[in-house]
Amino acid sequence: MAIIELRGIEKSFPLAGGRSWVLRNVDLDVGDGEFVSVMGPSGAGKSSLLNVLGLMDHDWQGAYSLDGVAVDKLAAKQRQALQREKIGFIFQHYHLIDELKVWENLDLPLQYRDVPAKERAARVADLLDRFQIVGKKDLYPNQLSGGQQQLVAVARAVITRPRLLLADEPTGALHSTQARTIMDLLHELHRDGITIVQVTHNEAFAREADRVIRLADGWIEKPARV
Amino acid sequence: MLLGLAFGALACVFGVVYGLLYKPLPFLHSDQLVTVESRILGIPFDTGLSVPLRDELARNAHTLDGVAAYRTNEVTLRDDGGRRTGTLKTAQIEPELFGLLGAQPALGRLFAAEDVTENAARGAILSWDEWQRRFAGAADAIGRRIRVGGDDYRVLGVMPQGFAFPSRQTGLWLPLGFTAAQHERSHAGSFDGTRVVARLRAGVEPASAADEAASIAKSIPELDGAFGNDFRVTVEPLRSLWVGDRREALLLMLLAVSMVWLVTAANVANLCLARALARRHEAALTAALGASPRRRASAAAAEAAALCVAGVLLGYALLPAGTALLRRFDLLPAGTPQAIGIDAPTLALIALLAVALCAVLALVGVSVQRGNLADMIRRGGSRQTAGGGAQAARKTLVVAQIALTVALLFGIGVLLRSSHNLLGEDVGFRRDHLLYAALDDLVPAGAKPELRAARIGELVARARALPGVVAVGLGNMVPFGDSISTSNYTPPGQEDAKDKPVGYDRKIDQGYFAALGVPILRGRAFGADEVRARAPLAIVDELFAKRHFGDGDALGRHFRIGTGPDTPDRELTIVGVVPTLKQRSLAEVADQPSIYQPDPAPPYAALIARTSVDPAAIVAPLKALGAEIAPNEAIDPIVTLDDRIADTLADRTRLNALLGLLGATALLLAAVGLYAVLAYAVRLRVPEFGVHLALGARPRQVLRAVLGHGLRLIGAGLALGLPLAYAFARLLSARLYRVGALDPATLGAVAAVLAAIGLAACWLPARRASRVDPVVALRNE
Repeated sequence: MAIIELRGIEKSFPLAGGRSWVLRNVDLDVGDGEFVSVMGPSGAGKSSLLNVLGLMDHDWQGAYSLDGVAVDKLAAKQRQALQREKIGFIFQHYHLIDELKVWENLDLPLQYRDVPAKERAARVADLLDRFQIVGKKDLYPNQLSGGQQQLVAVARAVITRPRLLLADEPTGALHSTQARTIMDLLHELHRDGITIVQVTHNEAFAREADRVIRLADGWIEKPARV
Repeated sequence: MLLGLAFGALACVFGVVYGLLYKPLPFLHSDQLVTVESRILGIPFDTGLSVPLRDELARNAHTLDGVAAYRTNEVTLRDDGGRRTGTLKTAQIEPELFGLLGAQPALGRLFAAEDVTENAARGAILSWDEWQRRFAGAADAIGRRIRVGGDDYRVLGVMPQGFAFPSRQTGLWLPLGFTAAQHERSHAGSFDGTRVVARLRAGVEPASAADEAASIAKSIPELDGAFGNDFRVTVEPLRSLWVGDRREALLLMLLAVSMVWLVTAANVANLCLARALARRHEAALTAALGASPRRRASAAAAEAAALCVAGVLLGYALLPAGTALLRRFDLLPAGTPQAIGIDAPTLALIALLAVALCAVLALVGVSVQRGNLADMIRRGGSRQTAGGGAQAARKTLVVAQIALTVALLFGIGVLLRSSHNLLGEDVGFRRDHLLYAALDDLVPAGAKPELRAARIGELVARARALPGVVAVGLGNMVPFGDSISTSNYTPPGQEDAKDKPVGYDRKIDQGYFAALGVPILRGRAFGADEVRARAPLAIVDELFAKRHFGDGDALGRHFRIGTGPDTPDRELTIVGVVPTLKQRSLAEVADQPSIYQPDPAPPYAALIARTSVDPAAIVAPLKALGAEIAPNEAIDPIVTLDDRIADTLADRTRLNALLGLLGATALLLAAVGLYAVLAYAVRLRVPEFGVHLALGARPRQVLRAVLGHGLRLIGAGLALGLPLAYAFARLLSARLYRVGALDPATLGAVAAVLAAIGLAACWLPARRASRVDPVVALRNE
């Protein structure tokens, strides 16, 4: 069963004398529990596709069904609620909140979902333990290495127990050892049943997914099974 | 613009404070010149010095090196037909006075001893302006005759341009001499507005001279016997003649404008810091391209200097308007002998502050350029985040602005509350719908008493018939009026007592209490026949009754009241008791009893009219009535009693208005500062807000977070401002009336106003933050 169903997704910007197309007639199904990599040159539309999938961008045409819910029919607030319920994000530049300690960064998404304080504390403690960063919980992001920061960012993304994890070049800013750690972590989450869509420039890491989708000039080139 | 206003306000107030309080007067060794005055407790105005006391000081005071008396007057100028054409301020001075001041004439001569002898021809000395006005500056004015106030004078001399004493408006000086009778010790207790200027011997302080003058006064039995310890002599620097009671208000204003300047400087520093931070990327690129630190520092300094110079120039341009404003609000008297405006100390202060601010701004510019160039370039202009130090500095500046504003607003708040409390005071009569008219000028000076009585009687009778007038009364002492009369009296049952207390000696007609709306508590009012006959009756106030009869009945009791130095006391029978009235100020605590006697045309008479319409509407009809009865004279002033009462608070009202202006400015600046800090913080944190929204934050949660940030700054400013506000209110304590220096209601109001304005300032940045598009925010990353 597909958790993501995209049909005829198109996105463009008006330009003098025409339009600049970002996504062209994108049809895509992602199965529940699948691990998909999205590749393509810069400007191919990878991040735009991820934004559409993550419900951060609603300025597009076409049909999008997320876990059976027709996203294109939802009002803004319903979209935000669906996003809070289903989706976790990992960014290339981690985007941890500088003023918050590690545990507070993890706590933040739970606060936004109105999770009671006691449960929040339990979930944060559980995740710190699972990601083996208990010793770092009171440090600020700038006191961590890049790899450690991305580790925290992954933990933050999954603390809300999302069905879908979207990762935008999660290893792009890391050296190889740190990148390997993050990829291993993604595999582990995948094994736990989370659906993952990652955008990456790294061919080797892309191939570690169940499937690689290649984008060029907004078009999906060809679906390929690995 | 704001910096210019702040520099202008500071320069203006500092210029006036320096000019009025510290600038040397344009007289010879002016720091040694003093004014000697006396006060009698219970009489709330300067009585001047009696001639015998002046003589004793001149003869026996070792601390003084020269004493000279003077009196001021305002004479009515008339045309050939006897009609009033205006007034002229004159001063009668002893010949020694010009010598004390070190003055020299521009033309002719000064007064000499022979000018004040009994048979001397009347001589006068003109001010430069009066010489120009009367003689167009002609040199042959000396020796010519002028007519002033019905008398002819020969012009003896002309004073130089700019010479002013005791006022810049004094146009004419006349010689002052005293008769042998006035010099007699028996007149030591007679005061007729004679003032005295003296020169301190080298090294003597005014306080020492005051001590010596007090002991000399004590040694005059006629003076000591009449007033005892109620008599005080004061010796003040001469400038106190013009400073009056403005010192405290001026220093308060200086403090307030200094606070506003600091708020403005903090604001400017904050905005400069924001700009410097925004341009960090550009600065880093410039450095990477080879600009030396010195070159970058010079550029920052030049920019700061340009800003400060522009501010100072604008401030100077605004000085005339500011000075006019202070003059309008009576913080700068019109008649000072010394020129007040831009002086060297003012220029030096403003230059010093400008240089200091310039240095701070330059330092701000240079300090934010420090750091890892590669990092600054890599992170780019749009993503610049201020270092912790810069952010903390910005927050501190805003908190300091808010704290100063809190103090200023709180001070203004308690002053306003005090004025409000004062205006709500019970004055003892119904103050609304009352018109006050002084009748001193209803007859020319020297007119026969019969003429005066006839005119006053006719005016009172016809005023009663004016439409809108419901009652008319007459008295020599109307509450909040121009004149006060006191007499010694022998308390009932204490005929042998040596000390005779002083009471307000009020002469009234039968309509006085009804017009004022004063209830008769016991007994009765005077009848018309009793008034006509000036019957030996008295109505006393509650203070008199309580003081001398306790809980006993005052009605029918007798006591004696003084009628003059050479006339016997008069025995009066008490026929009524009325409430004690406020006489001169709303804040006064009654300490002097009132004795009312019947009189149909008392000296210094004033008319009181109660109206059924707006009393201001009766001014013109009453004036017209006066003109009919005395065509060449005038009833002046005619004002509502509400205005008279408000006038007693005029200095408060004016200061409140000025401080209010400064408070509003400080509030505006603090709001701008708060807005700038938050707007900048939001701009820096756009990507962060994008992350928050991507992590599931609702827009209102982001809005709340930014508002919370602003509120924390406001809260910190309030907390820091609280002790400042308390200190400021303590400084104002002399002006507070039934309001504590930590008045919770005012504090609450200030906090509410500040929170409201602060939240308004935070709203726009907060709304912007809540509307961040996470896609755009993160793409820009």
